[in-house]
Amino acid sequence: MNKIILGLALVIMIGCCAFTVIYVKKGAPKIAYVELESVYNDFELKKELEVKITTVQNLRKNILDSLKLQLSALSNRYSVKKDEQTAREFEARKQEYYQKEKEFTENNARTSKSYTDQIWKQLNQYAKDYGKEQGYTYILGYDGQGALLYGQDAVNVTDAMKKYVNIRYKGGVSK
Amino acid sequence: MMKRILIFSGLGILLLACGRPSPVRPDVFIKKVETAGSGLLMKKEIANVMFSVQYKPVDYILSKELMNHSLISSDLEKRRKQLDGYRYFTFRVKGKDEKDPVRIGTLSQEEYDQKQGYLSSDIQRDFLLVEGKDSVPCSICHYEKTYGLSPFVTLVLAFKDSENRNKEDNELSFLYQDHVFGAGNIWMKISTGDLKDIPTVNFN
Repeated sequence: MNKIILGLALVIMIGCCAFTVIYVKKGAPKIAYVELESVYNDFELKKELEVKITTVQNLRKNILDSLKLQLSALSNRYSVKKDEQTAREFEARKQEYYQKEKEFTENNARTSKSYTDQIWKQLNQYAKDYGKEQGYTYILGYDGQGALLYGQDAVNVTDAMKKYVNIRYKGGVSK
Repeated sequence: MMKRILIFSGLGILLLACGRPSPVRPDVFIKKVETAGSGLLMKKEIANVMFSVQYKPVDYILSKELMNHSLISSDLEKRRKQLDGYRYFTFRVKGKDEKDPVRIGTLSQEEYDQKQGYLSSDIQRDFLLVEGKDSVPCSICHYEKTYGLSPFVTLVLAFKDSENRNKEDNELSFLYQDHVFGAGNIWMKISTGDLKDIPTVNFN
């Protein structure tokens, strides 16, 4: 009789353990993290837009340098001649230089912000799609600012995410 | 020996025949092309804005025109000749909230009008089709004006055939360099397999 009760208790105990393991495993959130800076820097769109903005900024710098050179020439002429016409011309060129410099600075900042917004819009979308496709409950972003202090390498999906976002950006479908 | 050769040749022909999709009716062809699974309808969502590109093979346009009776069978070849030499696409942008997507991120009526102006003309230079090593600019771009009444923006596009058209293993990459919806470059791709899988149409 005792043996039957013992056997029954054993079966119930094993059953309970199995149920707990299955329940915990099913209910446990699937979490991973990515190194944000690394994903951002290796994102193709970021690289393309960086080249684009650098080209534009260099062209603008050349225009300003050329204006600066003209100003310097006018300044030299004025220091020799001391005439009113050169002074007026110098003043006009100086105004033009400052106006252009202000215009370019504002435009560069606006373009840079617009590009950053575009990059994050796409990255956020692909990260969301990646999380859904891979069945993650959370994907945390590690940025070195303290929001995430530690993560095991086993749950670091930075490389997989980089690959995924660049495939998706170029119009491919993840396999 | 001869028997073996004949058997292998027969098997080879059979395999080749199996690899090619058999001709389908125009209505079936239209459905096939418009199905997302065909790979000819590509979609990409970026921050609540849905971009989609429908590739329209010439047979698809002919099928559509036949089905809506704007083309009669006897004029089919004449019409095909008019259409040949280009690749056709419909590019569509849709806001998730069913509102005019041009209004997204637009702060004033002046800005809205500027965007409408851009969609009517300048947008053409922001489309590119990449086939192998060739980058083909957009040759024809038609913006379907709805005056803000429709929840999407539709553009009909045509790109001249590149030298690489129909070459093996060339996929098609479509690029829109966005200046209106704040999404950046939108790339979409049609794989070689999907291009090869386009069936032929039986117009008889």
